[in-house]
Amino acid sequence: MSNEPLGGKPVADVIVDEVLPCLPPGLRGAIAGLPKEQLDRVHEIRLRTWRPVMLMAGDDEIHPSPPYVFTDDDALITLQLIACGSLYAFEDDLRQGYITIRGGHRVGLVGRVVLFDGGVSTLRDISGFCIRVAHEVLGAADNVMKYLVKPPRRLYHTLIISPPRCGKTTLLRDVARQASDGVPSLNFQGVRVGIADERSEIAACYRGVPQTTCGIRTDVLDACPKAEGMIMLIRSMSPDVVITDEIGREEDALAIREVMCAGVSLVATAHGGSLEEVARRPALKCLFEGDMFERAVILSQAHGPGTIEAILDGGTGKTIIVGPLR
Amino acid sequence: MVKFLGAVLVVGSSGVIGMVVAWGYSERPRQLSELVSGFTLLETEISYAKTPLSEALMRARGQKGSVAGRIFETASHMIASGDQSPGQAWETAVRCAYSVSALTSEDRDALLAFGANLGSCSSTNQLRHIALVRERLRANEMKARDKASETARMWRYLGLTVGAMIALMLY
Repeated sequence: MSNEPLGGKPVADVIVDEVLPCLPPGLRGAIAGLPKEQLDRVHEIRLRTWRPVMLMAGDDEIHPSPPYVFTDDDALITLQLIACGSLYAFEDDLRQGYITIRGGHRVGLVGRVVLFDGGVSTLRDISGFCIRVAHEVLGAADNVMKYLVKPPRRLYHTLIISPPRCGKTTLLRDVARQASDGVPSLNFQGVRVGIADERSEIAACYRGVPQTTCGIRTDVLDACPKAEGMIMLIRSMSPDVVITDEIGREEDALAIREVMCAGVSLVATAHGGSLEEVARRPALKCLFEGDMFERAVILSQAHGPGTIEAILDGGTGKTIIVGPLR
Repeated sequence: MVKFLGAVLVVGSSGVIGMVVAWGYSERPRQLSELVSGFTLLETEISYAKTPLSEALMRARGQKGSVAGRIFETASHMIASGDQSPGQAWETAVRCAYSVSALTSEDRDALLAFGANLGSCSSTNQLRHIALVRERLRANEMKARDKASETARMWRYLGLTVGAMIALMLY
């Protein structure tokens, strides 16, 4: 398994080439001046107005030396650079609280929320940025693919379950890639994969182009609400497998039933600690009444993100393998 | 013979001056019309596809080498480079093109006012600003067209007539 950023480039190079151009010139120099081995471990850059800039490497904090205090002018310039000088083009993203930049890196934003008709209209006075450096782990699904493949050319309906930050999306992305490209060791030829990527996290599209390696037979419907996206994909791209992230609303459950009844395999993720916890969520309850999911993969942080706790048979509830496995 | 040649030169140069001034009057409505078309295309790019500004300006630039094309293209490159804010980039592009155009200070001010909120507001507001500058330019174009039809002809004749008068006085 190789833990590498997009395109196989070292993280330090990715930060210098793709993230630093979105930061004010003074801050670019401060971050570029950090030792390469430190930059290679960075997965987040935290910018808060009138506070020191921090880079997160696992649980460690790295501070540029001398400390760089992020000013409100810096915040304005950063917002302008992130939005390519076109805030109107990112209105929906601002409402969601993040913008995806070139390279698939997600920039979370906080500021003052403007309400309209009781809903979030936009964000203004942006005062904090969290830049998550996009990583993909090629081979993250190596240990699970043999349990998800249903010979000869199908995948089991699968639900990947874990608490936040346990590697759900990373695993899902690699399942999509392997299903699309095929797995020669399992004698599984690639199939058509459709990704309903509501939050641009799986394929990390930038202007419509996937920035992650998500497979040669993969079609991505980017930034579309997943319930509508799943149905649109079936109508327009006739996929063999539909992939989507973080299901949780009633409309998601209804769309999933539609997908499963259309003879299309579905692989999705959900927040939760166990299958029982997810099955108790009111919006998702109906998915567990007819044993619709055939496989459930439970993840944890036991040996770092991506640790497989168990793979269960959704129909019988029996454990297929038990972890922790990484 | 020398006198005759001198008279021809005086009449010719005076006629050319008249033609140049007349060109300024007939060129301005054409340049304003190109700008109005450019803003209409920009409006489509923003309202339909929410295309980012540098790309939208490039697509809406119309004919290369025209004043509208020059403003839109320069602003697009400067915004893409990220060295200046969209407002500053627009201002620089307008000022550069203004010096070699037939536009008046009234047209320039309308264009500069548009840059104040460029790229920093919602699509609804951005479209309002586009509609506003387009209306101002269209009104200027109508006035310029009326003026051009009368004034351009007058300057063409005036140039030749004044030249002929000077030549007669010197002869």
